[in-house]
Amino acid sequence: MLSMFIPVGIISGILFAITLLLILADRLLVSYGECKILFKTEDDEKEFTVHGGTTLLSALITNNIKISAPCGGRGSCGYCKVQLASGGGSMLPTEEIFISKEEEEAGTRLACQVKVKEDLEIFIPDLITSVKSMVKNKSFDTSLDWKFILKNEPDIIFEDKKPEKLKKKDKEIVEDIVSRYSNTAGPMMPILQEINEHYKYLPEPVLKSVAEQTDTPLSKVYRIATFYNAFSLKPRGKYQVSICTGTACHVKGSADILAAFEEELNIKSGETTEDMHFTLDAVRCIGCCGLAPVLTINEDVHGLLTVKKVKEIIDIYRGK
Amino acid sequence: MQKIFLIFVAAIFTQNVALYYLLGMCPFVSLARSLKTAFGMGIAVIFVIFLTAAVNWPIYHLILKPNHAEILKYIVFIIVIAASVQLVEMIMERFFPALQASFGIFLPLITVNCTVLFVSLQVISTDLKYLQTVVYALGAAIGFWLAIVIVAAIYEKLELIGDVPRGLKGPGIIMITTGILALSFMGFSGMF
Repeated sequence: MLSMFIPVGIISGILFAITLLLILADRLLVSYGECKILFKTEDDEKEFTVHGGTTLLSALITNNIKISAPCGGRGSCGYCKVQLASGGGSMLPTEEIFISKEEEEAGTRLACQVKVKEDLEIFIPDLITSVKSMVKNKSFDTSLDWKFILKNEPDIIFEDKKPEKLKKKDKEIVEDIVSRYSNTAGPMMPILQEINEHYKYLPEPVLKSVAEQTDTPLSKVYRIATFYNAFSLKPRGKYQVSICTGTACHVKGSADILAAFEEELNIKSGETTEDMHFTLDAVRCIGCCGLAPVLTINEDVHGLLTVKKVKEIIDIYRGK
Repeated sequence: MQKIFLIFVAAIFTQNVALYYLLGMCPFVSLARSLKTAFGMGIAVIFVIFLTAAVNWPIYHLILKPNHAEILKYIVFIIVIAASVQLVEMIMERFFPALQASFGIFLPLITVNCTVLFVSLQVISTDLKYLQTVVYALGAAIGFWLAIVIVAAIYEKLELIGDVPRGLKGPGIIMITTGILALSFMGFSGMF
């Protein structure tokens, strides 16, 4: 009878010992001791110590520093941007989509993705207070577009131009297009496609006019305009470079091709060069896997790409 | 002493785990496509097999055997392998981050490589002493490393020549290469 329990005892004992060992190792090895975090805002400076091994975001929250992180630290909202002056290691692939090139150069990271392993020196621009003080001074013009940029000197940048007004010519174009689809069921897609063809993108005032003339809420127009990859709300370059990142192309190394383009044009995927010449986009399968890795520039297809060929291809279109 | 040397050589050549027992073929076939990954994987295998055999032998002989609980060896060995790989990862992340970065994904992947369990079971079933166990484990692991590196090198050469029939590209030609290599390794058995 007793012999029945011996194997049970042994296996529980071994499991217990191994669990204990792993917990101990976790305690001793994964924790990085006390790490100092020097924390600065525009007019404040604080220093505190935390146990290493946690994320920077949770370290900040436990020390009562307010930082907006609507997604709760999963790295999906991209709001918890901080600037690291020292420490923190290199950027993770999960952060890349949220951080633009100029922010990257200034050392911007997402707090939820940074693990505290050493002493850190961080800077968090206080967006809410600076907007509040500007509103108090009446220097905040709400009719202007504004954006918040984390450069070396973080600041609120007002864009000079007022929102665009609809020109008379544009209005006629929209009227013409809308009238042609007045008897069609579900006319929004073809209307937007024609506008996209005409302007190469969907300008804001034109969309407003479309909403008015088709008697559709603007939100609905916006919903369609932002859903499809073929539409863009931002002006696009003369040459639309679409790099296929579908399965076949991915296997054949399209990620390297994309990186080569990003380097050569000095933009990230989804952006447009300053001279409005190239727009770079990573798209899903464009249906010629036989030529993988493949890309299209406007209507031209370039297949069997290598990183070496990238510069040649760009030079062809730069010359035009 | 001579016996230990014989065990070592036999584990590498005549009873090579990959080419004689044909074990661990899944990672073998999928990783033998580039010399660099094959090399990294092989080194990680040497590391893990050596470590787990050295830990599992005393557990069997000091705990399981005296209590007549030999039947538990499979489950206990698997647990020990998984835990020790975890432990090694933690230690490496802390003290040798560069080494860990070079191993990358291979280390946790090897936990489920059947070669690792095989070596631990083999030393039990052939009643080796502790020193012999350690030497055998080292030999078997080096044998696996040798086999995967040779096959990967041959595969890279074949890629360069490029006249592999289309239907045999990838796993097909690797299996054929492995088979021919296994035949040639059989020749070693006449040496001793």
